[in-house]
Amino acid sequence: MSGEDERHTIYSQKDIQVFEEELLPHASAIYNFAYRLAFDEDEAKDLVQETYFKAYKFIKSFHKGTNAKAWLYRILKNNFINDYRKKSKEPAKIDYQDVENIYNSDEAQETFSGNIAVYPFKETIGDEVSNALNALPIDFRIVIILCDLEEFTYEEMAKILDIPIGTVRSRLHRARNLLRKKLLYYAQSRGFKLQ
Amino acid sequence: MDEGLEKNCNDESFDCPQGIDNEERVQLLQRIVDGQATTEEEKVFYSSMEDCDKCRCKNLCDQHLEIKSILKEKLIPVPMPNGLIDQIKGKITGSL
Repeated sequence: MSGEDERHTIYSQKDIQVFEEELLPHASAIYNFAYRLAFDEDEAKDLVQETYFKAYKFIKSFHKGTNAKAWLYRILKNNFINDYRKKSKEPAKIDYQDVENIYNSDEAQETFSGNIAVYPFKETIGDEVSNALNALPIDFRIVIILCDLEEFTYEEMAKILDIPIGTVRSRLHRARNLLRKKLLYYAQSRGFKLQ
Repeated sequence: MDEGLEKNCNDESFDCPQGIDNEERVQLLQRIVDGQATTEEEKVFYSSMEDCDKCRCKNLCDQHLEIKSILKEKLIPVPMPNGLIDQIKGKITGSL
């Protein structure tokens, strides 16, 4: 659909009903997916709003009774990946307010060896499992979230990710092997047998 | 992977005596872990383990199952912020 067409789309009462009855009930799950990807509440909220806005724009291409949740996840994943790629290409940004705050604080007396570039993801939650998941390459993180947290089938994941089912499984295998290495210490301390 | 040990099914170049190639093993293992294997596939998987003293599939399978379990236990769903649904509706209504 071109931009010209979008401006002239007329939404019927039925479109609004489909949106409210089939798409909106997944908002909580969609928010969780966004949060696990972005690791930031504000960014997750923006992603969810953008996802629903796009879904509404293309509501006429949605077939009632089909897998609305998978459709929304696919839109959100594409939004996130596009943003992620853009951010990856941007030069590192410096928040000068943060620099000023640090400079004016007592911490300025201490040696500052951290990198002040603003990364797309923040490791502010001191949770080993979240951090281990967040440290995975993005494609691996997504398959783990979809499979282990959201419990999608391989077939659904293949549709969301637009890759063959065999690739879904290979990617999961590699992602789990990577997570296994990252979680080894944590797992042993909690009595799990990862070794 | 443990270094210095004989090659086993965690190695990509491992020549499985059961004739299961690496990619096939990876695919089967994940289907078992995620409970999406057929009864026939489960038979192949478990008989392969019993027949091969170098088989590490069971070990890998257990580890991946524990990863799933840790993720489920630790990463509980986060609550959706209040008013998000209204914000979505507002954004859509405002665009019409």
